[in-house]
Amino acid sequence: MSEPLSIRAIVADDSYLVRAGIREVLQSRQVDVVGEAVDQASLLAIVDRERPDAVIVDIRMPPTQTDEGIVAARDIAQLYPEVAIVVLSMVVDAAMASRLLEDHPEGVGYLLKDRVTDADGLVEAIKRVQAGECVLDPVVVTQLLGRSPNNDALCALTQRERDVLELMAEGRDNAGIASQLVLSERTVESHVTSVFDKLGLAAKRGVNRRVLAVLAFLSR
Amino acid sequence: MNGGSQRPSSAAVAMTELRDAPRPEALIASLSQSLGGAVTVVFTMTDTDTFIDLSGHPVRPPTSPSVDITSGGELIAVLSGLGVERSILGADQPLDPTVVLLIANSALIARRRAEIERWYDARSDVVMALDGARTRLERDLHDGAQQLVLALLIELGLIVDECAGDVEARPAAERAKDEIANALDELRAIAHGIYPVSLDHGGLAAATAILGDQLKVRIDIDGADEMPPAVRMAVYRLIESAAEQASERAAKHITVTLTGDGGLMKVRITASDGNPLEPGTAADRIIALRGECQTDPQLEAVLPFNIGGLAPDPLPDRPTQLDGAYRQVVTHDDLRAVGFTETTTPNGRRGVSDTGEPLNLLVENSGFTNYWLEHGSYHWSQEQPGAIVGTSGSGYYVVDGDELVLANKLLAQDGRPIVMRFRWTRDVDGSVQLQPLDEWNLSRVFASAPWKPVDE
Repeated sequence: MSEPLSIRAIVADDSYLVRAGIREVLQSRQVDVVGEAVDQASLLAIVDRERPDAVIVDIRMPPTQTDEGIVAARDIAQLYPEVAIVVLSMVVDAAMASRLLEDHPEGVGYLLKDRVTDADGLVEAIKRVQAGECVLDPVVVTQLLGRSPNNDALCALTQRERDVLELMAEGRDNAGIASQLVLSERTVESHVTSVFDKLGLAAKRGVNRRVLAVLAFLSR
Repeated sequence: MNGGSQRPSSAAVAMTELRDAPRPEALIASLSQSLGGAVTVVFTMTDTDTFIDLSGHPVRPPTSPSVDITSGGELIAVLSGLGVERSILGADQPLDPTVVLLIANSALIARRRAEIERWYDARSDVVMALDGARTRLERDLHDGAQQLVLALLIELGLIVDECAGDVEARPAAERAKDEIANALDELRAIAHGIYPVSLDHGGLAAATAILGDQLKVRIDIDGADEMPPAVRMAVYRLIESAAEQASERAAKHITVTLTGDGGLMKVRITASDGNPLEPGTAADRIIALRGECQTDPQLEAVLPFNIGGLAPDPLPDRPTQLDGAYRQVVTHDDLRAVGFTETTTPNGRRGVSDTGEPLNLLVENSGFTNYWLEHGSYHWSQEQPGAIVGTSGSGYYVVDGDELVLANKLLAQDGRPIVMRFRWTRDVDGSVQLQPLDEWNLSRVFASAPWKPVDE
């Protein structure tokens, strides 16, 4: 009789009420909150001590309340690549998302803080990030798509391919994209291949082309 | 020795002036011509010890032999240069009273211009102080109300979860949750309206993406987003005003065209419905920064890059971000902030502190590297060896061979300037690394000065 191993998580946010809320939400879905941090330094110390499976961290923390969460996330990604990191932000900001992803796009997520209220969605995001995916809030993706296309490879994409890329950026797999767009998985596969081709992403060992495609999309 | 026959009589100078130089700008040229060599004229300000040039900009007092010009017992100008040394140095009455009158007249104009400069500076200072206050307000809102409402939203989410089987309670809880979610959206929009934090780190693209999202207007930005922070904020407010109007009349998108050219940032905004756009209150901000605004035939604004000596030259290329860490942590009480004024001379730009002290840095007009420090990252462009520089709110940056020298705008309490040196190297990927050459701990740099560095 073996229970599925529960996720051990650390929550970092300088607001006590928000921390308590996130903890309750996670615990309601059998995620074990093994530590809480209020700033960058305390977060790194707790991560070092607890070696959690996942870290949920607010972007703005003391002392400057600007990008401490991003800095901490990048440090953690470098020091403890096995830890899944979900960055939360009060405002979705594509520039911050790009910064978060530029070094270690795999195993990180960037979500609007409001998503915390959807317990199942939050836990699913954590699990996807744990599996090495890159999960972006749909609002980030909308914001990026809302920008004017520049004369780069992305312009060459068809509307359908852009739709597929957008859903890839949200971290969905082919099956997920297929059900979202009401297409067959096979069709999605061919769109994905076409996106890779148009963005010039050749298949290589150890390279996640989905993540690279999303990055190309982010770094326009 | 000034031989009477060699040198033109003072009266002749006066005649030349009256005939050829009714404009003060021609005074110096005429004096140089009449005195047989280059003449530099600096004027005095009445209320400070500052010297100014004819354009009203502070300049350093002459170091070479000079002649004081007084009018009614008051020092109004100092003449120096080769013409002065050759012709009038040591003379009892160096200039004809008519010429003195012309110089006095020019001094009045120079002082007037300096006062106007000060007014402009005061206006841009007010704008920048306003942004400082808005930053704090936005932060208070973010740390306070927004977190509280979010916590409430999370709590309601858990309540909705708990009453899953309750057909009466659940819809009520869900309605409450939706209301609170709307309130949080509202707060977010208000906070972004007060101060768009993303403008500082993500530039116009990031900040207007959020704005466009909130107003349901697509904002297309065309052109380089490289400009000093104060100019960028003014451009952002103009875009905001245009986007609000577009949103009100349901125009689908607006197009912003940015052109950085000759020290000016030009902004043009058009709406997809082709109807006119107004600058709104953004006009006040633009004018306060010495810019101009017009609405016919399109909404256009022009803003100078160089605001009150705070901004560098325009950047012709997209700058490279330097990765060097620069951190200066000191308490404000121990520092004296010194404003800069820049003077453009034929040889370059010269910095003078607002207390009139010349800064020991001459910016030569030969092979420039321009960059500034902005939110912790260095930006620069057009790298050329052995050359210089730009200014910023923090200070002057000079490239000296493979060294980068930062002369800070903040002085130590004893008046000594803070100068920091780095060695810079360029990596293969084009990024620049900075290696500090000096001990960073300011208490050691200024061991004898009353420094109180703050522990990081």
